[in-house]
Amino acid sequence: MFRQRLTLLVAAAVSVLALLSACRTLPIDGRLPEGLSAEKITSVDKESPFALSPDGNVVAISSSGLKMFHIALKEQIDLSGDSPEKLAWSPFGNFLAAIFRKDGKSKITIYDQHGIPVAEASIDDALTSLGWLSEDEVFAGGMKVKEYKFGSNYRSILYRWSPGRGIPAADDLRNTTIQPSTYSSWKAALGRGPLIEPVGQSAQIFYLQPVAPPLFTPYYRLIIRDIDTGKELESGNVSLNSEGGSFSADGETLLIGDGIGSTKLYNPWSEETLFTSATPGKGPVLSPDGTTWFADGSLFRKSKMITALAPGVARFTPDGSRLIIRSGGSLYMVTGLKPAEGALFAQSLTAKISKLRSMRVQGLVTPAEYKETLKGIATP
Amino acid sequence: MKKSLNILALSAVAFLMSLSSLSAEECIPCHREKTPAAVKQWESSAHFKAKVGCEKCHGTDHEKMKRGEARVDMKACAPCHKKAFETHRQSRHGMGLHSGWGCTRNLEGRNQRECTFCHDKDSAEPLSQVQCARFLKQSAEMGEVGCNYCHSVESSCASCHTNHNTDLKIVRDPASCAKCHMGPDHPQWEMWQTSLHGTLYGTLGQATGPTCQTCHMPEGTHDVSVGITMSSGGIAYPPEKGKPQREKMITICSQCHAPGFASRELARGDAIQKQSLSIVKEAEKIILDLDDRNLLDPMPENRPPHPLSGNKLVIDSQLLYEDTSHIERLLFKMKKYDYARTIKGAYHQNPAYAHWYGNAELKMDLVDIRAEASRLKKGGKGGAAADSPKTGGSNAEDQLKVLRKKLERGAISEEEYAKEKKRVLEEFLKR
Repeated sequence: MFRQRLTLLVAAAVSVLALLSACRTLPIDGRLPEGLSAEKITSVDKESPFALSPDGNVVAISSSGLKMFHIALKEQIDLSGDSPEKLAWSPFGNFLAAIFRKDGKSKITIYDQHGIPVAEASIDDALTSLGWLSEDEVFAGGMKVKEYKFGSNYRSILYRWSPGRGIPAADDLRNTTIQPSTYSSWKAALGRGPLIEPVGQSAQIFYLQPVAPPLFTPYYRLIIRDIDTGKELESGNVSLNSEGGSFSADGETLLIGDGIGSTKLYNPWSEETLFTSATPGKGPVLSPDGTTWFADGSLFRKSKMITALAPGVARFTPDGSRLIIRSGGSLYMVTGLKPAEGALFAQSLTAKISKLRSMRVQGLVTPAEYKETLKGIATP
Repeated sequence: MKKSLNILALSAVAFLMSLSSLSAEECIPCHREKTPAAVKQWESSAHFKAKVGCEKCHGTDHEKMKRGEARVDMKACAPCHKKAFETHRQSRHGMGLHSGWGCTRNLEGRNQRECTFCHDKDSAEPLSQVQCARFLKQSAEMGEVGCNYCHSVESSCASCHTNHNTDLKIVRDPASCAKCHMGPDHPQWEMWQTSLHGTLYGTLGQATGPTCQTCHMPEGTHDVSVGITMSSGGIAYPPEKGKPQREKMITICSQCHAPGFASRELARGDAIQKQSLSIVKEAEKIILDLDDRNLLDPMPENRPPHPLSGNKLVIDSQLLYEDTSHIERLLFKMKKYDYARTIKGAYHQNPAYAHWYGNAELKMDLVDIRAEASRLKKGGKGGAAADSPKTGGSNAEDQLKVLRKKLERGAISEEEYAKEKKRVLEEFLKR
């Protein structure tokens, strides 16, 4: 009787362990919530970048060189023996941009969707950000630091390039003079550059510019820049511990953490705060619909933590149902997330919304007028 | 004893007087050869008779004089000519230098001596805040000849009296005013000369024909602003300031004319001034509107910066005639030449200047400005839509920019701005 019970107990324990192991392949403690599952999809270089294609099927990775990895087929194509610093797919997935760095200089290479290089440009700076403004135009961000006795001049630079049509054009964003002691204390953080992010599919970018007032703690100023006019909208300040921001797919919601103990989800256009969370918000990634986010190795939904996952860098698939996480030397995929809810803006409206945002950046419309007009555009 | 004291005092005075003349005597032998005209003029002047020697005005630092740093300015004359100095300082001539000057600190080839024109020694505080953008655009040479030769009247008696002459015949002749008060911008001398006043002077002499000095420097006053009722830019003073001046001028006119006649004549001038100013204002409005719409060619931000206002449109008294758009150059001619000629021609009773050289040109300027504005609008990005009464521009962004500029310069009220903005955004939604 006792032996029978023991057998049943062992069988039950094995079943539970088997069940748990099926759900939990991420290096975390505890079970994933019901409906979520995670699996390792491939190995990658530690601390390397990756980029998920807009259709969510292919991930560009760095694994002893640049590769395109098809998630479902588990097949990969070798693109380069060099390891990239940054990767970004074009909005429609026709091209992949990669930054390679060597001796303080950078090279941007553009590959087509089959992994064939189609354009290349060299830049004499260490680029730190990469993205696309449209299917035809790539942007990169970097900074130049010139050290003087009285301090360091930190200059944020935006490069714009239409592959195949000329060379990248540099545009100075802002510059800051930072006192020697401040610069030396924050050198590592500042070395990440202006952390430029695209704002939805509109003609604006978001970046962080250090501000270092004498005798006060330095901080980042959050700035949205309208690409065509060069006008900028300041959108608050955040600690230099911040690891940047992430926009929802429609460009309406921004997630930003201060890297210490406060994460905020807000609409920079209408100046409305949606949620705040007492978490550092490191490595923030916002879901396409702007309701779920990954930060500090955990998954949040509407300011509440759903589950701890793994520390690392993540990207949502365009429909928001899957999350790819690079943690350590592995790439994981979390599935079962709630797909994007609510209506994202139709593609046909993006030009109009982009124009409205440009007018907002230029101060031609107020936050309230922006909100009202956007409502009119989205629900004609 | 008393007698001895008197003799001693008289001897001392005689000695001191001889000292001063001795000083002049020290200069004269050389200067009779080096600057014979100056010596000759001084010897026939009232200063010579009063034993005012060279050192009295020039000082005694010969090296400084040779370096050109001992120019005789008004401060040298002031101790003896106190009343003239004070009335001059209160008059429009008393700010001549500042109205035609500007801080040259940032100009190339500046002469450091110039600092003392606006600053007391060792003082960073300027004596006047007035600066002239047109002066600051000049080369050093043109600034000296083209600006200072007239505007130095503020600090130099010699500007009218000449250097070593003291004969009042010089400054009582209208020709002494002509050096500056002639030409395209304010030809008062030509206006007077070809008016009935000038004809009478030319034919029957000063006893019958009034001169500049008769009306503007009555009884030899150095206040040349007597009876003037408007700014040098032709903007009428407010009544509290203008009315007393008008009364003074009627009193002056009444020396020859019935007061009623003088009053009516001057009132006609006032009416012409008002009509002419409205034409100028219409032109200004057209140019401001073009600036609102970014249609000036080139726009201020695409030109060398204005010396005082940077990359902004300037159409006030600091308007430039260089580095501007063509339409602003037309406005310059309109304001500085034709408007000035119209009103000054009217007040100087010169029909040809008031009408043909002035008012007719003014009206033709407006025709040109309207035509140029039309051309700019047709060629501009606003296209035909730029003719829209309130905003213009083919898209919401342009229209909102125009509206904001109009609000900023007070052309529309907050309410009008909000209403128009709402309309533009509604149209934006419909497109």
